[in-house]
Amino acid sequence: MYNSIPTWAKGLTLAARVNAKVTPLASGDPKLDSMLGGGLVLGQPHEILPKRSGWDDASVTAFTLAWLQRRQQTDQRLALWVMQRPSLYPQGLANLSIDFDRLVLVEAPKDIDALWTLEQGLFNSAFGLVIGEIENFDLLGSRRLQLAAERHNPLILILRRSQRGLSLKEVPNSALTRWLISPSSAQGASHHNNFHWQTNLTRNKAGTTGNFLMKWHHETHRFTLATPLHH
Amino acid sequence: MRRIVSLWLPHFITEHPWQQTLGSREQSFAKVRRSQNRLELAGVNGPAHKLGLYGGQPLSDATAMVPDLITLSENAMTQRIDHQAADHLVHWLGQFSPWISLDETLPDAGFIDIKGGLNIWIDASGCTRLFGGERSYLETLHNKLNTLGLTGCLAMADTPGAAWALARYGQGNLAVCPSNQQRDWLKFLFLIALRLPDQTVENLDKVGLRQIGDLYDLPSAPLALRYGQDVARKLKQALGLEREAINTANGTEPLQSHFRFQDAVWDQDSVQSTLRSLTFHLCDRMSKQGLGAQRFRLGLFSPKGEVYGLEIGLVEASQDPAHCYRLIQAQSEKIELVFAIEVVALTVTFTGPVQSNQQSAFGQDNQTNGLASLFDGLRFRLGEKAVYRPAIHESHIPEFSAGPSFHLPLGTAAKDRLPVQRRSKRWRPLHLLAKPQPIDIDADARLRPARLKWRQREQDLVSVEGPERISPEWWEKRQEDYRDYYQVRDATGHAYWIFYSKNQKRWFLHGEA
Repeated sequence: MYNSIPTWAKGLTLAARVNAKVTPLASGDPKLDSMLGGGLVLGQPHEILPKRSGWDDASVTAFTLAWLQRRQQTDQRLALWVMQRPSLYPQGLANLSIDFDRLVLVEAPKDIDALWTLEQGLFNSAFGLVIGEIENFDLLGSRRLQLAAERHNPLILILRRSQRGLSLKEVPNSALTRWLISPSSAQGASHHNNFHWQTNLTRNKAGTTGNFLMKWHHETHRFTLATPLHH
Repeated sequence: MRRIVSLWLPHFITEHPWQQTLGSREQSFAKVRRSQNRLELAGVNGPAHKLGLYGGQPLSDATAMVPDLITLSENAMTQRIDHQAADHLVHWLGQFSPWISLDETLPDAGFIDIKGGLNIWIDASGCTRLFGGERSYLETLHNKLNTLGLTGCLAMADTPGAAWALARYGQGNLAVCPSNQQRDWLKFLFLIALRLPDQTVENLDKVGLRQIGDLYDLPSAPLALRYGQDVARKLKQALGLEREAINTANGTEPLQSHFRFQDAVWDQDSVQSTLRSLTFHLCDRMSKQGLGAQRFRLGLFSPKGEVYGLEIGLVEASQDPAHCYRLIQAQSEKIELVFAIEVVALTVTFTGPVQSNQQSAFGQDNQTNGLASLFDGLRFRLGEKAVYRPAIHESHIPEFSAGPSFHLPLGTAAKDRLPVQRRSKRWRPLHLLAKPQPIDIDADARLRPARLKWRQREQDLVSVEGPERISPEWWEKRQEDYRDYYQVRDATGHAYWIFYSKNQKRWFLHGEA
């Protein structure tokens, strides 16, 4: 099923896809937003990887939940989260003020099912955000999602995750940004819902890449950026 | 002639075969639920009932009366098992009549009543001859239930109302009210047997109306004016002067369609082609009535009495035959035919108004608002239980305090919102492991965790918060089996939720954040 560009997408040109009128999802930090071209741009996948597969999966989840929280505040539509297995704990999600009435969870352990599910979600205007846990995210898979996202321009977050704890390869794909996430040792004993991440932005079509410390402020629902360590 | 059986299983939730029994069947056993701020019995078994305990009784009263009462706390999981057991029983009863339904007409909502009993309707019209008469029909049913360990009270009458009254308030466990004699049989029963709200019964009692017979000669108009339409209507229905529809919420005839093969068949193809035409037939009938199916029940019967039962649920009511059949096909194709099939029966057990023009979930063209068919399509490919919303349950035991809700949002309307449950005020992890993993912890001099070893990870802990002690529900007799939870963070910044199990005397990892 995933060995070709589908018939319904023929004749569409990728260049025309990026709809500049749709406001990206801002992070709340002006420096970071200007780096990304206004925030996370809608309609094309953003890829989030754990720095160390298996070890940093929970940090990837926290990072994604923070974006989900911001998205739910500005967009009233549903969010779709396609999971490899049911690991999300609703009590923890509730602590982050996630609105359960607008979150649909789907279990799809295999990549091919997960991509299919994401595509179904992207076809539907009811979803303003789709999130998928995928082990291998290649050029074809990412292009297909991008084409499916065409009409409704939702935010697309792809979390790379291996159920067997295998290391995840960075392969060429059409993701707009690629984030390598690990927890920051600087967090210490601070409040648990104020996350600190060591972030490595290894791909950014809109601007520069870099290594930096990112923080999530639970009370104000904003990200902030510490000074980039190096480029 | 319509003949209705009301089957009442007063101790169902404590007796059904899937109920894990903590003691022998002769011991008093009760399930406990939380109701507002108190704990009360959700249901009791036979021996406990004999000692005077009843569903809805405060737990403190019950334990005072019966100190060695065995209790089990109700949670989302046990309730699900109860419901599955009820579904299973309905299929099993298919051998007595093709038309069985759970009674949902009770005032206190749901087919499992507040005392933990189960109420089932059986339309026995024309079924009793095979069993050698009506009394032996009921006796056979009663004995078979007994072998399953279930207490059953049954009565047969012309009307649902009369059968219901006699099953509960008649003499003995078994009653057959001959045709057209319900007037005499109901005469001396108390008014509560008419399924009236308690308040109404109390009001009638104040003016000296206690037995059903007391109402016979009263003019119905003033009665309705003074005590509500319900009284006159329930009486007329019980006496057979007015027809009472059961099962289908909208009072129509049940939507059932079945096909009998000349010779029993073994092959999936014949079954599928039959199912297809039955589905089209039912959808045709529904579209004439402007209804859509929300739930199908499929039964495959062998000549010898074996049954396959299957329930197929839809997210949103549909009358589109192709859509319905795809869903039915997806489920029924998984059935492995180990016996020959003589009868295929398809029933629509729940109907609802059709919301929108559904398009097929399987084509490419469901861009807008096809949420219901989208969810059906996802369930079709990924499994019935794969699509859900997160939900919080009322329990302080971490693994029971959350779970899936299969009620999916089809819009932003209030009916799509989940009831808000109190979430834990304490910090909780974002990932909860399906099963706590044993880990090694080095403790410091004050016996607090200082170093964590799990698989290849081995790190000093730089931040430790806790303990938060989580005990079993207090009425469960293993209080010493508590867990002490700690939120810890290691030197690299990874956060974990770990606990020390008093009972197993070791450390476990339960969550990550």
